[in-house]
Amino acid sequence: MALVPGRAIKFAPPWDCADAIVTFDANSGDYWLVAVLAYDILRIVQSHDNGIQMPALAEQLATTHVSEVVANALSPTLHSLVDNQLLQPADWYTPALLPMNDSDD
Amino acid sequence: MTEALLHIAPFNVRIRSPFPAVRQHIAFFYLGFPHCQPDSFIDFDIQILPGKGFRRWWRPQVRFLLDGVESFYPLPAEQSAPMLEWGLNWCVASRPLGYLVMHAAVLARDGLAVMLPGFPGAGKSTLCASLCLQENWQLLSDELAILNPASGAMLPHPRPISLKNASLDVVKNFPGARLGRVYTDTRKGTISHAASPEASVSAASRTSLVRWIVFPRFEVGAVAHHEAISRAEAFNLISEQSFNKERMGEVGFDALCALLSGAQCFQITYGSTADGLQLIRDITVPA
Repeated sequence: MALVPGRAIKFAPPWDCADAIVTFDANSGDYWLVAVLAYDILRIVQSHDNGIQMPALAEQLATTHVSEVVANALSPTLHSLVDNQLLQPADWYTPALLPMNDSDD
Repeated sequence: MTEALLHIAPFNVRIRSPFPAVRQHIAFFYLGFPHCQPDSFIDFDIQILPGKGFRRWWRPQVRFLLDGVESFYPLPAEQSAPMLEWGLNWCVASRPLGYLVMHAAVLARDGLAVMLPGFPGAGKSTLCASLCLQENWQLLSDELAILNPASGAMLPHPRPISLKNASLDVVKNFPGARLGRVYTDTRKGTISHAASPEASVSAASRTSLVRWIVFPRFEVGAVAHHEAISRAEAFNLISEQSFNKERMGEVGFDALCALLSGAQCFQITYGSTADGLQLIRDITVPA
């Protein structure tokens, strides 16, 4: 998995045993409230410039989450993050964006 | 033609209008506000002008111009003074001035502020008027919370308190309340304004740090109670009430997070102004 190109994700501070973490995209101004597992997934993916394979992601999550939680919730959480255009499969091909031009020439 | 150069903290505002009602409104509500020097930088150059063409005579209208540009449909001429207040709200909320602007009342005591984000019908303005007129809180604003991202401080903007419908009857009976003219049949129903307390106008350079964020909910007959809510939930609710968070981008996000980090967040439900005041007292009692 990898971050959707163009996203510049930031998180709110780790507030008082919150069950939701505010996640912000500095480029679009959009924000989401994500569960702790989704927050950890985003942080791990964010630390890998070229994305991370699923087994490695599950392995890293297992260090901070109960394995049953990861087994049951990983797939729906990833789907949700993809649906919200935060993550995408790392092997997706996204064409490089051209620089903005003032004219159509 | 009336012309006023006022420092309505933290902005310099120039107001020009031929309407006597605007002159009277300024004289009544902005009497204690400092005047700017003629060569001061003006943040908002406002004109409240009559309608064009036959609308000068037939069902006369009033127009609001900011920097010479008309941004709204005209209103009936008798609403010239409310149009000044509504238009000025729009100026503060929509102009990129480097502040994070949210729809909330803010009041302070000893430099610590309570912020009351406003949802329609929540009773924000009545509660705000009660706190400043009955409990002597410093009014920073009844409508526009202006946060300076650089300092994390809330800036006073102590303009008249907007009152509508049932709140008029409640607030006019407060000791020391000075209400202006009542306007009926406006888009917001029957409205009026209460003058900011003189002490709040005098203290308009005194900023405050938000210590409590309280989301009020007025319900007829409700049993008064308050509950703590998470900062993430408060973030979500305040974001709905922010005028320019998107435009403020990362700076706005960081400012809002810092604001929430330093505050306790609550939701209150109450059925009378007295109950609402007591809940605010309970929440803001010094530790």
